[in-house]
Order: sequence, then structure tokens, then C-alpha cells
Amino acid sequence: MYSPLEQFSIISLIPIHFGNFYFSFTNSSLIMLIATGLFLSFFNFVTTNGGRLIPGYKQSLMELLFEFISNLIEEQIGKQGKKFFPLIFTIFSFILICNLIGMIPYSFTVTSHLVITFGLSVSIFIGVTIVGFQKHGLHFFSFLLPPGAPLILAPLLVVLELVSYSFRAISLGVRLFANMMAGHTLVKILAGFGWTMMSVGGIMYAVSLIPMGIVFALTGLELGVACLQAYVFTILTCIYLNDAIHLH
Amino acid sequence: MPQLDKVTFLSQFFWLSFFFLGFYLLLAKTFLPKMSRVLKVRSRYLGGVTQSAWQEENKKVSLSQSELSADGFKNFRSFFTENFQNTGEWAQASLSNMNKKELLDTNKKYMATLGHQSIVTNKTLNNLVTLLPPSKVDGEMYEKMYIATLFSSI
Repeated sequence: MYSPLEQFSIISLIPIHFGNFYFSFTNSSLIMLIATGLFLSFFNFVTTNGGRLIPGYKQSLMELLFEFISNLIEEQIGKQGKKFFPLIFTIFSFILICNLIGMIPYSFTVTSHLVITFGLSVSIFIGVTIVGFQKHGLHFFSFLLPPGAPLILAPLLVVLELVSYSFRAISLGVRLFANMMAGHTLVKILAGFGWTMMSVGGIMYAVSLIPMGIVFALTGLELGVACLQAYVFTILTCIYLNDAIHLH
Repeated sequence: MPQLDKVTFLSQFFWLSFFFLGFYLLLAKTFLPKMSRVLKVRSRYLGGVTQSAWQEENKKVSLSQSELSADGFKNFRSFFTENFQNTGEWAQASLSNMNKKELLDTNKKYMATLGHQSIVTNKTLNNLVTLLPPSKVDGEMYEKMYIATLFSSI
């Protein structure tokens, strides 16, 4: 019986290293390649010959996604968010498709690794802060003192707000990582139960259907969580962008 | 726990940024513009916001055009009537001027001959009245015929 955490191990397929630095092409990179390739080829089939005026099924699906993200940005940020549309779109579709491919049995979940989600969330946090400073200059620090707060509390409040603001980078990444890892670990453990029960034999053969039933239900839940976590990541990015562009 | 295995961090981050950047560039440069083009064409075709705005502007332009042409016609007509009026006034003024200045002598001479003629005829008539015998209707008719021939000979 293998450990339930073994499904997250990184196996390098094409080892590439410069001295001590390893840039190997791993199974994680392979899944990323498959995910982006799949999405882009799907998009390509939808927009061949400039797309049809009356959409078919696939084109309708892509247009649904497009308008969904467009409405999200317009609702959160307003008119100035239009230039961030490609970024938000790729964040959402990248996380969504990586999560969904991870749900396939014997596949690998890219976003269940802390470095991937942290890399994304810290980069986004730094980018959003730079956008804020570019737009407002040093006045951006006024964001740390909410309007209508009594001035006596200012020192305490500023420190609190600073910590809360910096924590956004961490929380964004850890939320996605924890959801993905916990979901997959749980499914793996329950499936392990079912396997152990089945291998004992006898009456346990029939009882092993209970963990299997739970795994079946959990897979459905995990599919929902995959889509939801992508949505939550994206909408929080939009909210942070809104905070940076319109202070308060 | 494999997630905290530091050896894999660099490779994972490197390939993540590679694929994410490639994904972003391909989407932003080719696929998203294509999709937004289809949506824009469809919204314009279905009479979306741009269609009604274009129709409104069209109506405004045609309205202003008709106003302008009506104005132009009015101006044109007033110009013509004014011109004709001015020409008529000028013709009359110049005629009266000419009568007063250049044609003054001829007018005077004409009036003089008229006066002379009337005086002469009156004188002849008076002389004739003393010559002819006093008569009634026949005598008047013969009188009138004789005077008419005298007139014609003048």
C-alpha cells in the first residue's frame, strides 16, 4: 500500500541541468503542456475562418467563457479593467483546465503543488501592487488607512492593514493549494480503503462498495471544487486589482 | 511530503512561467481578438448599441441637411426678388434721370411743337368759323369734314 501523498511526486522525464540548477521537464510540465495545448487547440477549432455568426456548440461554450470573464471584470473593476481582460482570462482558464485535468484518474494535478500556486499568487500580488503604484504614486499608501477611521487609531490601523494586505499574496496561493491537495488526498485514502477491503475478501468484498460510493460522490464534489477554486482565485484577483485602481 | 521537496521548485516554477507566458501571449495576440471580433459583429448585426447610435446620427444628419436646403432656397428666392426689385427701381430712376437731363431739350421742343400746333389749329378754326355760313346739321357735317381735311393737310 503506497502512501496517499505519493500521487504528488514529481518525476523528471527529460533531465536538464546547469550545474546545480535543475530545469528538468517533469510530469508536471508535461501536464501543463497537455492542458494549454488542449485549450488552445479547442479555441483554434472554434475560431477557424473567423468563427461563425450563429455559433455551434463549441463556439457557444467558448463565448460563454469569454462573456463570463468579461462580465466579471466589468462588475468588479469597471471600465478601466478592460486592459486586464487577457490576463484574467488566462489565469482563469489555466487554473480551471489544470484542475480539471487533475481529476482524470492516474493523471497529475499541477495546482496541488505549493510552488505553482505560490508562484502564481505572489506574481499577481506584486503585479497588482506595481499597478497601484503606477497609477497613484506614493498616494497608494492612503489605501492602508480606510476612510472614516478616527485618526487616533491610525498607527495601529496602518500596521494591521499592511499585514492584512501582504497576507493576500499568501492566502491566495494557499487557498488553491490546500483545496486541491486535500481533495486528492481524501479521494486517494478512501479509494485505498476500498482496495484494502476488497483484497481481504469475504463479506468485506461487498462492504467495499461503501468507500467506492463515497469516492464516486467525492469525485463529483471535487469537479465542482476545481471549477469553484478557479473562479474564486480569479474573482479575488479582480477584487485586488479594483482595490489598486480605485483606492477604497 | 513531495510538495516541500526543494529540488523540484526551480523546474516547476520555470516551466510554469514558460507555459503561462506562452498561453497568455497566444490568447492575447490571436485567439481573444478573433473571439471578440465575432461578438462585435454579431452585436452590430442584431442592432445592438452601435446600430441604434448610427441610426440616430443618420437621422440627425438628414434633418440638418433638409434644414440647410430649405434655408438655401429661401435665401435664393429672396435674392432673386431683391435683385429684380433693385433693377426695376434703377431702370425707373435712370429713365426719369434721363428725361430730366439728356432728353430735356427734345422734350421741350416736342412740347413746343405741340403747343404751336394746337395754337395754329385753334387760330385756323377761329378764322374758318368767321368765314363759313351759320347752318344746322348739314352745315355742321360739311364744316366738320372741311376742318378734318384741313387737319390732315397740316
